[in-house]
Amino acid sequence: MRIIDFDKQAYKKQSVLKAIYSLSNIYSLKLEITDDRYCVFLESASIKENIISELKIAITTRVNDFELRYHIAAETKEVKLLLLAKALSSGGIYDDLADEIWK
Amino acid sequence: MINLSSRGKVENLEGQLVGKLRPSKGIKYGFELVNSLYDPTNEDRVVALVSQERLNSQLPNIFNLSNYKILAEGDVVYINDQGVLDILYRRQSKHNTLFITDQCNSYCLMCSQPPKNKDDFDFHYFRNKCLIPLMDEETEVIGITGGEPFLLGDRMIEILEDLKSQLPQTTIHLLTNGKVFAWNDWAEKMEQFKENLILAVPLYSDNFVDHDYIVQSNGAFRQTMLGLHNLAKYQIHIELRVVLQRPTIKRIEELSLFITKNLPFVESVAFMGLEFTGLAIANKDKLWIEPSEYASALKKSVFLLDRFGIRVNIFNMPLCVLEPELRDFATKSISDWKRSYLDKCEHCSAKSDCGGVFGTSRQLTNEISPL
Amino acid sequence: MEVVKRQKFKPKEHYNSPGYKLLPFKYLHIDSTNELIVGASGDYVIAPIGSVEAIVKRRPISNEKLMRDLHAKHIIIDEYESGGLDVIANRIRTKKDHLLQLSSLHIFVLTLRCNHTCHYCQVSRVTQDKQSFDLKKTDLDHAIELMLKSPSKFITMEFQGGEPLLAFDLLKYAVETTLSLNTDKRINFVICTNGTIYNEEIIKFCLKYDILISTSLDGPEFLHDSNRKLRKGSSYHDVIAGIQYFRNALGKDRISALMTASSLSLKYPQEIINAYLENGFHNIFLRPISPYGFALKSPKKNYYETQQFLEFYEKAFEYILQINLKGTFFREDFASVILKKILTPFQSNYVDLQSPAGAINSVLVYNYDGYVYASDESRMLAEQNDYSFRLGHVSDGYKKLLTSDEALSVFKNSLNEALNGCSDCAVSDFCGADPVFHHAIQGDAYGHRPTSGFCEKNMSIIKYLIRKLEESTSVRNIFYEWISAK
Ligand code: SF4
Ligand code: SF4
Repeated sequence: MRIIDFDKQAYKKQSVLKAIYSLSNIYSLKLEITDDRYCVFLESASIKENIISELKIAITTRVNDFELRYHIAAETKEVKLLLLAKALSSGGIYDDLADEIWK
Repeated sequence: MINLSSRGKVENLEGQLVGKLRPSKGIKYGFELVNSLYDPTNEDRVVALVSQERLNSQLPNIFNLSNYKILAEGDVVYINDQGVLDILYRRQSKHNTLFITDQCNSYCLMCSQPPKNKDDFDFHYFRNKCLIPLMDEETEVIGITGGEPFLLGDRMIEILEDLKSQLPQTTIHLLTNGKVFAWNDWAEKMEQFKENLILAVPLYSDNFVDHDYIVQSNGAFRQTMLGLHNLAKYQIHIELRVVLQRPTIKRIEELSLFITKNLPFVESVAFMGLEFTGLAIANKDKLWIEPSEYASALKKSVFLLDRFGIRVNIFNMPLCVLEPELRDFATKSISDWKRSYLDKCEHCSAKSDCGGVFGTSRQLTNEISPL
Repeated sequence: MEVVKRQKFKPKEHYNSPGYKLLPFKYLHIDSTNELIVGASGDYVIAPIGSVEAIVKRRPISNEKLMRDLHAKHIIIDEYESGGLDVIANRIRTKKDHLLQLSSLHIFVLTLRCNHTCHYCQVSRVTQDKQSFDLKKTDLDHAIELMLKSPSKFITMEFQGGEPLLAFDLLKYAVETTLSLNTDKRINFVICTNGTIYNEEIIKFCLKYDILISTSLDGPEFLHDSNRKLRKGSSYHDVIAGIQYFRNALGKDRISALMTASSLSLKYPQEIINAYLENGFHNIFLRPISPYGFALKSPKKNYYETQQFLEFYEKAFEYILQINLKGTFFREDFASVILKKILTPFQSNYVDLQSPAGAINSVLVYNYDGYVYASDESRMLAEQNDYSFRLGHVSDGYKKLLTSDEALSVFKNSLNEALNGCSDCAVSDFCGADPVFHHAIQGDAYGHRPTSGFCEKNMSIIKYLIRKLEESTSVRNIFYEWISAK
């Protein structure tokens, strides 16, 4: 397990929180945010150093971007699953066509 | 223009009859109307006489008809005791159709055949049931149209079954708004007919707002799109129909792109000039647009689809209003009985290749000029 | 279904629903003023920077065209969403169609022996020792058996080397055995040769089985010969003569050429294309040097930054567009792969740009040593004693091979939808995943996108192509011609 600290002064609490949530969503990390410090608990030991550094860069430079991504991810989470479920279950209507035209 | 419906005088008839015209040795200017359906034991059962002038006969006789001259052997007509004669089928024509109903579940701004509320299902069903066995087996194509034919419900399937068993060589070209196929079981029912069936489905735009507005029906775009996808699952041949009119012309290129992405399985796309009759007349200000205004957008759209590998046809457009590169895509699509030419067309070198204009249109483009 | 009653016509606003839901989409800045917004279907909208924020925060959007576009490209959906999702789901399924065609490309490395010594060649050996560098017949039998078990209906059997035509007897045996055992598959055969070995027997054989020839041409004579050394004579002369010979005998479209860009090549984009044109080719695949094996053993000759390749690529590409705009059909194949993904709902069958990655999912390599590898690059790594992607021996059987630790490590890292960096990348639909590359270059099959040459190259070319697409109708038309030409 890894703990990373972020500079809590860097941004207002809300945006940083959202950014971290957004990143955790993107990277499928398990995380916990404590009251007094902004921390990401990375559960997997195999998590790469480069992800951690990217997290840090992301949080200090692209908060707005991540905020938007967080919104999109949060709002579309269910519909995304629904789409995938439908895609997996429906008959592939283009399959034969793709074979014919593009193979 | 040919008038398929006329009214003459009638004698000895109660109710209505459908039959096939056959020349008769005894009558010089007239035909026998034959229909074995009324008596399966007698193939040559003559049920009525159709003639230019009144005949002295015990049989039902209809005469004094304005369209008598176009009647020919093998044609199938409907007659009733009001003196009405409707030509249901002309053996020499390539443009025969089964008319299913005047009712519709859309109310398109430019509908040439304004939907009516009257329940006419039984009337047309009767005529079609009689007509199908009387048609020539060699018939290449038969159209099916409405209104929305699938409002007839299961009896529409029955008609398709009749066609399949009686005219196994004939291609069925069926005009539908496709909404019914949003219910997958309806798409599945089409599978048994797929060898000889083409469904012609109008799609007016790449987005629900514009499409629903044109057809004046909420949710129509989604239903039709889903319907098309369901049909594709069963490999049903589909012809998409795109009408060239003001409200949707702006996004015609986007629509073509949309088709390549979302409907690549369609067999062909037809861009259609407007038939200016019916509801279109009331909506003239909203709909009317001169071909020159959309020439460049149409060209781009046609080429986009063509390059992508979808067959493109241009319907109902005189050759002279099309850019030269597009003339090869033009088809003589206007039914022979509706087709007209202008006086100036007489001097046109392209007349024999040109499909002319709608004799039914109340407004024609000003841009017609002989080639 | 209800019959509509005669009604008053309603205005357009009546059918609009100003409220909307977001569909899953991603975005990036395509240039200094615009955002590229890509939906789950892979359709995109280009809009001024700030549009995404306006969409997400439901700020009123007065631009009617943008709103219509967002709907038509499946970025947003009206609140009822009825039926709309099924259409998008079908699109997603269509894009992943290649998954149903599991392992369609089967590469047989018949021998490592070669008559060339190209300085960037990753694998070949100049040797007469057939024993240790040719695929054993018993192993070949196993490999064919494996190939024919693939669920794919369409199979490409590709012969590589070394120079596979040095092992012509083995090649003959492979084709004939395959055809005698095949029951239900359509099989295409391809021989990858340096084009210098041919005779009547080979031609007859190729004609009989409709075999495609793929050869190498790096550019004009001075360049080609500097890259591809023969012990004596000019490789260029030999390969051009070979191309002519094969063309005359097999037909013009039965032979294709591949180029590899060495450091030297980067200075000569136009010359390379001219050489292709002069020799009667209508396409070129602008390919950077593969970063594996011997290629980087001579770093001076072969090391260059991705950035340098990209500059070369764009110069070459602009030149190619000029040629097309003047009326000559000439296609760049890497762009065509990407454009096919952008302009059609279908997936390209080019295995190096797919997600899940082509390795194993679309390709299997049967190496001369009797082992099965995840991809062509995987066997090249093995020549450097890196066996990370050696799935097992040809005699092991499908189940064991595809559940080996090596296979699992490929699968785990082969979905760009789930890779750090790619998962929120707007162009991931047009890109792919390459665990073997990232293992080789970054020492980690998972990979780190911000420093990845794979990412840099693809991202840059994809953005460039989208800008080109939007730039002019004539370029767009050329692109359509490229992707629809067979
Ligand atoms: S002038 Fe008449 S016949 Fe000639 S192309 Fe125009 S509409 Fe057709
Ligand atoms: S490799 Fe780069 S360009 Fe490709 S999907 Fe991943 S982040 Fe995007």
